[in-house]
Amino acid sequence: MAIQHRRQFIQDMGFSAASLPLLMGLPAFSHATTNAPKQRMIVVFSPNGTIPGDFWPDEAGKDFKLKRIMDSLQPYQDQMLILKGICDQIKGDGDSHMRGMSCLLTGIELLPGNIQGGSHTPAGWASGLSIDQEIKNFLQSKPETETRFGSLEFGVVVPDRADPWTRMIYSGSNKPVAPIDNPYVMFNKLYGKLEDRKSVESVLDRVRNDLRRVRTLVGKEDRKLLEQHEQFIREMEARIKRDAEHQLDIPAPVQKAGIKNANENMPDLSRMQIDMLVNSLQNDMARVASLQYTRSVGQAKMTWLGINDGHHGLSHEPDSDKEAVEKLVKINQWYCEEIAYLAKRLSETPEADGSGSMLDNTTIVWTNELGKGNSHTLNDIPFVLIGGGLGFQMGRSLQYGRVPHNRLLMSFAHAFGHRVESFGNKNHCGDGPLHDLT
Amino acid sequence: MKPFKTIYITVFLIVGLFFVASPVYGAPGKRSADDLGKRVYLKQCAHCHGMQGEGVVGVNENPLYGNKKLPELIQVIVETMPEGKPNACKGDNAIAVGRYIFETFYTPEARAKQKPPRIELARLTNRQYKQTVGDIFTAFLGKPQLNEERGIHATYYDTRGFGKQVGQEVVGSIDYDFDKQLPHEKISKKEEFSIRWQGGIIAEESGVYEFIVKSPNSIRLYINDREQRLIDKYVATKDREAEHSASIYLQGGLPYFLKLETFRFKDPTASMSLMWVPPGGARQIIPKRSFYPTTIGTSIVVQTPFPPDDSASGYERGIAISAEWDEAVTNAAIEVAQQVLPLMDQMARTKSSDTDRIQKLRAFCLSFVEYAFRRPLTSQQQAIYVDSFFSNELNVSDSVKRVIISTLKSPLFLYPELSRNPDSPDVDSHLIASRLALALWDSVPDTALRNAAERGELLDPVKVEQQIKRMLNNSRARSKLDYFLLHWLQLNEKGEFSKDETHYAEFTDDIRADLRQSLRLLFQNIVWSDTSDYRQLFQTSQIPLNQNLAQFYGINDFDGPDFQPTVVSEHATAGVLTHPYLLSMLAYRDNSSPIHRGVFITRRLLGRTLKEPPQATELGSADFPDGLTIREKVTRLTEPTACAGCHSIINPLGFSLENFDAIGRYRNQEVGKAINAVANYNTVDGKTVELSGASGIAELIASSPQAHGAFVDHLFHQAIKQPINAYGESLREDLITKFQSSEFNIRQLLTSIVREAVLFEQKHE
Repeated sequence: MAIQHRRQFIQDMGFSAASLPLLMGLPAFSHATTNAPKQRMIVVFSPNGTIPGDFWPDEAGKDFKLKRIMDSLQPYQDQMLILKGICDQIKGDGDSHMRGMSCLLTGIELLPGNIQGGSHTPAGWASGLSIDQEIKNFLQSKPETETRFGSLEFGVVVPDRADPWTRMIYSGSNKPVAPIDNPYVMFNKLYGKLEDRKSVESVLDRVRNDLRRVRTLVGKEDRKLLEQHEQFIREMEARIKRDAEHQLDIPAPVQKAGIKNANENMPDLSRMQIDMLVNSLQNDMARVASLQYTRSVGQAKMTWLGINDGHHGLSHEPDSDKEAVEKLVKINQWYCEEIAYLAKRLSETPEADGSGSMLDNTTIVWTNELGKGNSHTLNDIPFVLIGGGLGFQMGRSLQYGRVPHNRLLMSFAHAFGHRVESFGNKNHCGDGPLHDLT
Repeated sequence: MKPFKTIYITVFLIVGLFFVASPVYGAPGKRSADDLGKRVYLKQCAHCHGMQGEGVVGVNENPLYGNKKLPELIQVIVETMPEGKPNACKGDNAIAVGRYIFETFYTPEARAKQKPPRIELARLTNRQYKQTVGDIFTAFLGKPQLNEERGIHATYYDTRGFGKQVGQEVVGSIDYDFDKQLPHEKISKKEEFSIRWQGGIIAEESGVYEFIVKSPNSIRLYINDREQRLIDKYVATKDREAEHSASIYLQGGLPYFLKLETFRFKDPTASMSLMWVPPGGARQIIPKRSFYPTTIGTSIVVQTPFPPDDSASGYERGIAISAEWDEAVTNAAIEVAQQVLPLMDQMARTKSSDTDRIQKLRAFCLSFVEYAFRRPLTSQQQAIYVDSFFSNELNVSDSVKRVIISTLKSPLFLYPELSRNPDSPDVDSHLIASRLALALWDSVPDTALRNAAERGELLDPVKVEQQIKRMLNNSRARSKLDYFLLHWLQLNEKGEFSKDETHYAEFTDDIRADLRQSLRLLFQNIVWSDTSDYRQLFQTSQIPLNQNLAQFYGINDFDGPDFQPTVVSEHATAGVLTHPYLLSMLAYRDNSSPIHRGVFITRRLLGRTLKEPPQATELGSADFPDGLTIREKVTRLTEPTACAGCHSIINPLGFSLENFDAIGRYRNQEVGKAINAVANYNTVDGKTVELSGASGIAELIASSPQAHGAFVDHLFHQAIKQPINAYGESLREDLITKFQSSEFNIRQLLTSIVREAVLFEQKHE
């Protein structure tokens, strides 16, 4: 019973597969395909607000022109939905970054806590689960949409600390879910058991040879024990062979080795995580995923763009600081390029069941904890949707007049057929899901 | 806490002997007193009792085994046998057949001689597996030898972010109410500060430790692993009662890294308690004696659970395997590989930028396999177990991983006796070194022992004895003797007991845990004293007590928190025997239990055998008139002749401890009557001894050769994990004689046991 605590704890920390090997009895990696196409959602987070003038298209409707931050998304413009005027109206404890982050997907207030930023009241974790987990629970409850993990939480250079600035995913009130930002840890979680099996399989021959070789050292009675041991080894070999028939649909991606989990490697780490994300969805390990770049208040130093300042520091500079604005545009462009890469990978990968490309059945939701860095506003939170997973009418730019973001979160659930009557704080769910998305 | 298990009074019955006159021919017994006895047995008895007294299916299935003395046995034969014809077998015939039965199979000793046990092939026991793996990697990672310092290093900061350090000190335990008092005078603000406690935590026993942090504030706890937190509640709960717990397996006798961080920031309330539940212990604030103020490195500790070892012979042995065990071995190998990979560069003394990193990792792997196989590899072995994994197809961490998994799955690792030099598989110094390390440490040879093996000097008994003396000074030998104590006195088996809440409310889990610790310290103090005198275990009145226990036993002038030898009462003079833990363990919830105490002493300490009771009777369900003492109740209940045979041995031993109640406190009356602790005990050689109180049994245990033999057996079996009788007919007797003539020196006995056992070579058929 005592062991259970640790195990539970490790699972809470998201290290389950890495820390506790369990060789046998793996659930099948892929389910029988059903006729309905798979529906998926990937939430991508980048921090510290945007530069509105270089981000939001001026026009509303089908005819719109992408501004320079989103240049790299041009190939997907007809699969995009840009939502301006979505506002995070959650009040209460915590500074804007904290509420921006921890209420972004939960739509509900933070619990009282001991974490303080700026001059705001200190706060703790969010008091409800996040929309991706709500959808995950819904999908996992039905056999036809159940997957091995349900959801996967990726990160890129997320600092090793657990606080409301660093967590946007919650499995329940007071239950943050840590993104896995170390690609090797994530690799182990996704494919580790397979790798372990391979390792074990590769040594069993030797073990059997050893057992045969030492037989001559013992008397007749002891030989029985060694024969029994050999029998177990043979049985294990047979089981591994049997399990091996449940191969991955698509082999695990080949990873670059020895990339240190550090700021300067962000470009490599980002691509490693995206490749793994696409592969894991392709192998149907989950239908819901998230990819979190750093955290709110994140201080990525994009030296590879020639920027030596931290992102958050820059985001506080006034609009009149043209140099800072220029750098912030570049930073946001870099994030957008990563999203374009994700969209490209999805669009180039056909669905196994022939229902088009993965992008046709997947919606990327690119978001941010703030509307604008130097004002710390929670209005006009960036929400850019790419891909057909949610069944929305794409190729549009929509401009709302201060709509609470709870309604958008509800729309996500409804798009999966999960007709929640409210989500997060009920007071902000007013007229229900946004009605002009489909 | 589990409810106290129902305890049954065991009523022992003597199996009758049934004779039928009918000739039977067949294989005779191997040994006999004389031919007459054997002829009579085969002619008149074997038809019903079987050739070897094993019984005959459908006729009389009770084996002809028992614990009567020879004269009693002969008397039964004369009076009752053969069945239906009493007195048909008498005189010389009865004496001869009685002796034949007695010496050939009736007693356990006789049966043991019939089929001499052998040294069986054994895998590592679970304890040996975990100790071995831990120690192998400790050889690469290092670990300090403990000194006498205790306590934990605390650093205080004036800000919430561990920024401005204002003081540091070594503290005894972590149990604070910061609302009442700040932990350090230099902390200037009540509402904002942070504290880091760092150092080592000493695991005394191998097993699962549950750590519990109780605090409304931010918490981060690290145990062993310096990167991964065992408990992470960085965001405070603000709930004063909030507790967070997590468990981890730790190896006994070693210190592990511990770090606990907390901060307060505008939290309405602030406190911090660090508690644990050690194996077999109770939840308690971690005491000062378990903290170590020096920072310790990460160790490899196997967490994979294993199915329990075979303990049918009374000690854990690796003589059986199962599919579950094989799977646990596989999972453990993977787990170890996962723990090792992040530390492999450190262990191989290299870093990722080194150009010769691969060579260094390969050298590390070779060294690892040599530790695991307990001998240098031949070049052919090196090619198989190391080089073949370092091919171009694998990246280097996969190579290391596969070396580890293949090694930890290999029979050369798992069955220490099978790791021989392939070119000359005779017993050599390396094998002796391996046996020594298992016997004294349940582990692998250390550097000094490896060097001695390399010099080939361990076939020499003198050198072996020198090594044993050296090895006894290592903390792993202390850990092994501690393990011996736990099994010898059955502290693990019977450790979960509690007492009736109306009568003994003050006997809390805390008291029980402290008493257990006290008993262990009592044993350790004697074993590791200069004389290491076995008799002292039963003849000391000095019992280690701490403040908590002193208060419990009403000792007023006790000073200091640590355990120190104290006289609990003028009556508790029999060491282990009158130790309150043992007396409480062997008692009912609300009263003493002369039968539990008697059976324990008979079997464990005096080395006499008792048959299992033919029927179980619950004392509580029996109908007694009011006002009887427990002695009177037990006497009545065991009066029937069917019970009296065994209970004439058990009861007097139990009765002589009647001055000690259910929690081991002295009493001089029960239900208004004076305690009677005088009883007549029949010794194994037929004498009657009057036992008066605890000192009587203590004297008996200290002086009885059979008791000495029992102790030799227990120590031998825990150390060697093979039956003592497999080591030649005379070894047991020799060891007993040496033990007696060494003034009962326990360490010397262990030295002799290990020396004789590791150098013994069994002949195969």
